[in-house]
Amino acid sequence: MSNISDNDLILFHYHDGLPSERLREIEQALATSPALAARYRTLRRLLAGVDCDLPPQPDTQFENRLWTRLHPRLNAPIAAAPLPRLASRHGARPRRRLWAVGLASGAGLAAAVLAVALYFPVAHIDAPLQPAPAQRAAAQGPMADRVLAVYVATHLRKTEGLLLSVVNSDSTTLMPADEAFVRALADDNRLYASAAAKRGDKVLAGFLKTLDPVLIELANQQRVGNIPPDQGLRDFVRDSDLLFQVRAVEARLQARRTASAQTGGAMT
Amino acid sequence: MGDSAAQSIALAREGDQQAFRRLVDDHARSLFQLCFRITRDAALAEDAVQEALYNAWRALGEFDGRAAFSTWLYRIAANAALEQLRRNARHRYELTEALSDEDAEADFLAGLADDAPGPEAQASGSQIGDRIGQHMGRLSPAERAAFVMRHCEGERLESIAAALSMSTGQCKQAIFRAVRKLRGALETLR
Repeated sequence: MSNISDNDLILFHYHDGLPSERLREIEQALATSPALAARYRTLRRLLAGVDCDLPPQPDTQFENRLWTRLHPRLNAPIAAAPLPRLASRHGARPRRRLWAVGLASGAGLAAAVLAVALYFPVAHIDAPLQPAPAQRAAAQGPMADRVLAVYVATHLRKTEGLLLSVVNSDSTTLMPADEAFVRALADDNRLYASAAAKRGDKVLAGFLKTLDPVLIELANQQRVGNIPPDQGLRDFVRDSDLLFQVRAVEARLQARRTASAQTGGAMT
Repeated sequence: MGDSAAQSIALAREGDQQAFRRLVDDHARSLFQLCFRITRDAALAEDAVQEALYNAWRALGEFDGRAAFSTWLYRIAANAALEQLRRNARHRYELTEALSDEDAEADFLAGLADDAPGPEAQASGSQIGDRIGQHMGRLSPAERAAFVMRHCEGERLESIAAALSMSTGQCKQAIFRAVRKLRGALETLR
């Protein structure tokens, strides 16, 4: 096994820029090398901290101000200067068939998010239970994002509480919580990860997927409660940055929820 | 992407400005967040969003739907943010940094690794955010843009490289340097 550099760990973290066999090699090394695992934990802490660097929220007139400046330019003659280079092929004719297929396959994504919102009983906002009126259809995208942010933030608060109870408990049983509650958290986590992925929030979906094995293991610990607890799992929750990451992501979702709520009145 | 968003895109491509207004309202704030993360300046970020939306309007005919509309917009916005930094005299000197494919820096994570929960585990999110924010300001624009698009937007390296007109190797190095420079945020908390 060749030496694993910090740069390798960064690419491994994002699962990007390394061949599959190298990713497997690093994963195996992390399981067998405490020193490497410690370096990776440090990297994860650092990157989790980035999620706490929240941009300022624009004021409530942001969209109106943008449009006031932008609208006159839309009608103005286009200058002779070339368009800036864009990611899509410059000058390509739109592939209407592929585009239409792409859009059609995206149909129902908002419905999937709203289905999540309607299914789970936790309600911290007055989510509409009736189909949105036609004139507010344009708000469905941001509203679905807001609903998802609310529910996932609530889910992460519960997860944080569960993890804290594991860390702080001195009892011989690992789990002071009800098995059904832990299983429900694990099931919810998978559903929210799927919803986030469908909304295009790859970062959130990826983070929620990292919680899956921990929640499942905690639920399984409860089921076999007569067996001495897995001290390794308790130590992992205690010593890892998992709690910190859960708090950081929850803070980011709360900020997103606040930003979305502020734009609600700016929609025309 | 919901049906209403797809309809707005289709109508905007036909010149419907009210449909484009809906797209502006849907995406403006998230574009601002991306542009702020790159420029670290709220006024420049707003100008970048303005330019990005104008460029998007002009290039709507080139959007072929292979990427998500938001992804397409973010690529335009990232370049608009870098353009704002080029235009702004205060930041112009930061853009002269040459991009390299080669990794000249040694490993650093082991120097920070500590099995015990670090003090950052106890610090509030806002404290850590402030530290990280200070260190993000010390990255070059290219490093910030590449890192933000990878970490915050989840873009693949090849897409980031294409969007920012750099090679994949340069993109990787920019991200490596960004992470290395950000380690100072953890060091100050110890």
